[in-house]
Amino acid sequence: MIEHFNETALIKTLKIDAKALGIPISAAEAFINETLKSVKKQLKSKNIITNHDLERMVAKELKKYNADLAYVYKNRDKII
Amino acid sequence: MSLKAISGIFGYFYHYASGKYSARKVSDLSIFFIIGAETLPAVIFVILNFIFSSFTFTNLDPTSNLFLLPLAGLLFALAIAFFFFYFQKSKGTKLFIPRSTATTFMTNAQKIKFRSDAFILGFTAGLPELIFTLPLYFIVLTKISESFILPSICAPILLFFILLTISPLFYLYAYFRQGNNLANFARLRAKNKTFFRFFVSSLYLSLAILLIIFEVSL
Repeated sequence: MIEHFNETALIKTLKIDAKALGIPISAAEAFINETLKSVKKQLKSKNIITNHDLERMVAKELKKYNADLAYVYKNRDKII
Repeated sequence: MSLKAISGIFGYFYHYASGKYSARKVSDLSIFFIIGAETLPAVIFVILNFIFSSFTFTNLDPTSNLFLLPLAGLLFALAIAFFFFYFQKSKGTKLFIPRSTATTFMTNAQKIKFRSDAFILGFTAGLPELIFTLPLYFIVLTKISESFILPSICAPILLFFILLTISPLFYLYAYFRQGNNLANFARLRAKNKTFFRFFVSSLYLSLAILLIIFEVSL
């Protein structure tokens, strides 16, 4: 199923995760924005990408700023 | 009875509730989740007790070999099934439950808003693992029914057992309240996955052997 990349939903999810992890909201917003900037740069050369690859890309960029947030984002569907 | 599903769902629910609501509301919802989780064993005991009582009219004794031998066999089978099939063969701690069911639980855990939602989620969280936990309820009721325990003491014993089965959730609640997060919890689960498989499988095996040695009359 092909869907458009929903940046707003992704930012909302990451902000909820960040708040739950105790990351200050301003810091979380800063590195979520930086993460999405890097991801969008990498996506410029691609028209279509799988969900799995997108998650991997976002998690890899997020890991540079906060390991816990990256771990929760990457493994949220592997807990149960 | 709580194995990994209910604690995973609780961790998931606590994480998303902490991200959306105040600490007070999260505590409130957590308490109702735990109450819901405790209600399931109570309901199961009532249903099993009703089934046991109906056996007395048919002269079938739930403590006879007719029930105990298949139960022992089932425990052996569960020991093997738990070791090989409880966790999926992938990274993380994905369980045997169908992905659609797991996704439903995860989606519902993210959307919890009211106490009733938390109660229902807690109540239903133990259902996927009934295949592994139902024989244990049966054994507890069998032991109580064959022992000469006064009816007035049965209820506190059952209440104690129910609290014991849900005690991991109390510990988990305290664990999150101390400042730990879902990432730490998930890493701990993944790290202890193999130990958990060995531990629970050997518990089932020991239970089956004890049942045969002490309960089955040859």
